[in-house]
Amino acid sequence: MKNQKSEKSLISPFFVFFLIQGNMIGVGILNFQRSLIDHAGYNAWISVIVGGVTIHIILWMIYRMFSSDQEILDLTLINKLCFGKALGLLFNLANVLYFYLAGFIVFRVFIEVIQIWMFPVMNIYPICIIFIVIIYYTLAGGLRTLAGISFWGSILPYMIVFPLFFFVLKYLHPINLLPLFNHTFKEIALSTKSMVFQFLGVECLFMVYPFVKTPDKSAKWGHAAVFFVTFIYLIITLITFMYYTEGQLKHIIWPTLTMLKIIEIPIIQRLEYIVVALWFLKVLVSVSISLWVAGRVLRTTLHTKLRWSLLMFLAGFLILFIFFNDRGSVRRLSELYGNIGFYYIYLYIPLLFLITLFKKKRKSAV
Amino acid sequence: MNQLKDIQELKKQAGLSSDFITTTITLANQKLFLSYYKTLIDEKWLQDHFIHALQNRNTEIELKNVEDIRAWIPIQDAQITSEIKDIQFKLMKGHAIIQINENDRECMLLNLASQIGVRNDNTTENEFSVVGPKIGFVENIDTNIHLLRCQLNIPSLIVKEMTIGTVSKTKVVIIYIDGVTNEENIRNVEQRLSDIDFDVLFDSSILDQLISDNSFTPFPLFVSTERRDRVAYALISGQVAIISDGSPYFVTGPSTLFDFFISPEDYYLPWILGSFFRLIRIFGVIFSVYATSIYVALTTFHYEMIPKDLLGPLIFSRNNVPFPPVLEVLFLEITIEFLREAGARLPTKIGQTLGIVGGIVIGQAAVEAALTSNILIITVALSALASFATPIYKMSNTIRFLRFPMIVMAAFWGNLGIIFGTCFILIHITRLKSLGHPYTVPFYPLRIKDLKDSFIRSSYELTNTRQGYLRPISLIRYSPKKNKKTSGFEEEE
Repeated sequence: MKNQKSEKSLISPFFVFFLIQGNMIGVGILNFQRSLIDHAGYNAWISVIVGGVTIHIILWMIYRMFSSDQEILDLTLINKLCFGKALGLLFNLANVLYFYLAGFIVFRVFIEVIQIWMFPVMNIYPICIIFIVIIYYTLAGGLRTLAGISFWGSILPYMIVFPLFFFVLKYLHPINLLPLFNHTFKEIALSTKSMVFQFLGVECLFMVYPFVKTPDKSAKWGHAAVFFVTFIYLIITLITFMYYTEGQLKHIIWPTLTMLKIIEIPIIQRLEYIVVALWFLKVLVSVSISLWVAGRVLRTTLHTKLRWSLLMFLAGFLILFIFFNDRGSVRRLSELYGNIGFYYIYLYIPLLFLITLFKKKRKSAV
Repeated sequence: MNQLKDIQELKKQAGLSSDFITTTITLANQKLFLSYYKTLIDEKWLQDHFIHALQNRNTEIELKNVEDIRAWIPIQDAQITSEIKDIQFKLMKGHAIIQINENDRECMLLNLASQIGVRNDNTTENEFSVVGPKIGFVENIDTNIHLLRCQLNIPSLIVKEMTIGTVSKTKVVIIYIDGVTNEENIRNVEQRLSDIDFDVLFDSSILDQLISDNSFTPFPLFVSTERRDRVAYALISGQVAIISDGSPYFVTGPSTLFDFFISPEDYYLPWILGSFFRLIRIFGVIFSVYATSIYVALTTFHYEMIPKDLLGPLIFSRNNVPFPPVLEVLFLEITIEFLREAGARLPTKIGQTLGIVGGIVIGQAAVEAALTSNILIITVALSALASFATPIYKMSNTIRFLRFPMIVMAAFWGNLGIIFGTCFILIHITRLKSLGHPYTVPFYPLRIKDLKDSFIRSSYELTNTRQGYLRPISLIRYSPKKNKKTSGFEEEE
């Protein structure tokens, strides 16, 4: 299948990998362990694998939807096809809100990380504003720039941060992982539910797909991205479990960062200062992609100018920031978003999938 | 400038200048009217060859029109025209006007352009290399093309001429290799050059800016070089080269960010050493951009990051410094910039003295007066040194410029500020384009095949193809010889 969009705005299938994993790995990787062990304890690493597998299935469904019908170009059209014009519009607007919220949560949580780990007493508003300016600068370059920055924004942090975990290896206690299976199936399922929050972001493919040069060839990169994310989460989960005892982990809010504090190399210590700063690149990618998707959905439904909707979105960030200025409210908001995301992934997408499948069957029967 | 109507008007206007000569040559019963700028032509040549030949003519043909002069003396570079625009243009390029009658519309233009003022020495002035040829370009365009043609001995090396500049009427030349360079690049360059409206073209670096894709950028979008090997290499890999008359610098494009960190010397050394030096250079750039801003970030916000063994000396050296780190750093960085700027403007001999005065005396005195810490002096000096490791001067200017926003950002938000600055740079270079090609290729968009000649310079067995991102018409440069690997285990008996 070829794309009708002009060649200049298209990205090569390879960059689907960077966009999807860029949107999936955000700020959650710094603190997901605590909620993960709530139910399944130290068996929760199984939940990471289970979660990853389900996301593979969801991704397969998305690709299936696109390839089943040539008329389906993006999410807005799927909604229209499945729910009719009026209801479809409603769903589209809900999607805008959903992606916007996704962007805001990552933005807000990262600002919190900065407040806690780097500048506890500094006025945070200038940082917010420059963050927003950088997001705008990224988005003003279009999807190609977004793909570019998701490339750099992944390569650079990974190259520097992931090798750091090797320094932690000597402090690990593999015995922590035993016994391997001492939790019920239900507990593991509940842990998987909390893990889904970390996997949210794969749905950005709904709007990215029409901009890929040969979209059907991007499937392998999409799955590679999901596999990569699962793998990274699994590794970090295992390392954290072997590093902390279960009791400790219940009291540590940012296990990944706390773990890195132990590293000492001759010319530098307290590496979390570098990691938090570098992670900004990663977070920028995640927020920008979410906002871009929200803007795209809004544009295709209401034909608004992308520039103005993005400016509104970013101004909204500042306003929302004033309302959600303490830890409690941020946490409630992320829990809300986690719940919505759970239903989005496991209910909404399969529903869309079934309806399109059904419609196609009927079409071919007629 | 109003358009002149005919030769008479042209001569009248030109006659206002004292170096415009109008003479009459009388030959037996015949008169020839000769007009030229004596400052533009080679008067000796005129005297020795033209007038001398006229007087010693052996034919007795009567001169009815200018065409007959050709019969008198065989002159190759002469042209007969009545087009006033052409006459004016040629006159200003050092041609002489020859008329039979003073009021003729038609005349002969004789090329007598002199080469006075062009330097003969063509060793490179700014881009040095230890090994390899030292041939550079000079301020004369024909010499430059001659130098290029000497190296690329193929007829498919195409030279296309244009005239740019409403006042300077500068000859600009586009050079490419037919069958290698993608036609879209050539078209693009031609289009952009013909769109230019400018008065005086002093140097090709003006062209570089006039045809660039984005003028709001500190990054140079085209490589400009005075080295012959560099231009030849650019041409053979499928780029387009542009040069204007009177400039020793070729502009080649489309360029990528990494082209600016490549030195021709990399290709003259064994590939392992070439790659090593290239890596050193890239590390130098990174160090140069970040070193001082990291110092600011660490000493302003993140003392905890410095291990205690290192923290001691650092605190000790900053003990008596009365300024915050950012002022201290800016003070020193600007001093270095003063030194560089002064050194570049002063005559060579004074420049050297100044370097010693600036480097040693100011540095030493600043530390003793407790204005700066000596650790900072080391850092600033190293980063200045590292910035000069960039082979292309334009890029090393950019590198030095980028330090300042970085320092300011680091002063505001420490490490985070440095990352903010890095983000801006990354987004910026991702958005940049050179002749419509992405600037950060082969990294973004990623082209694995082209990576073999980017960070490292692979051996010639591997780099037999051209860089794919330039979309050359033929990809293969040469067929590499397969080296037989002789294994030490199987020794010949």
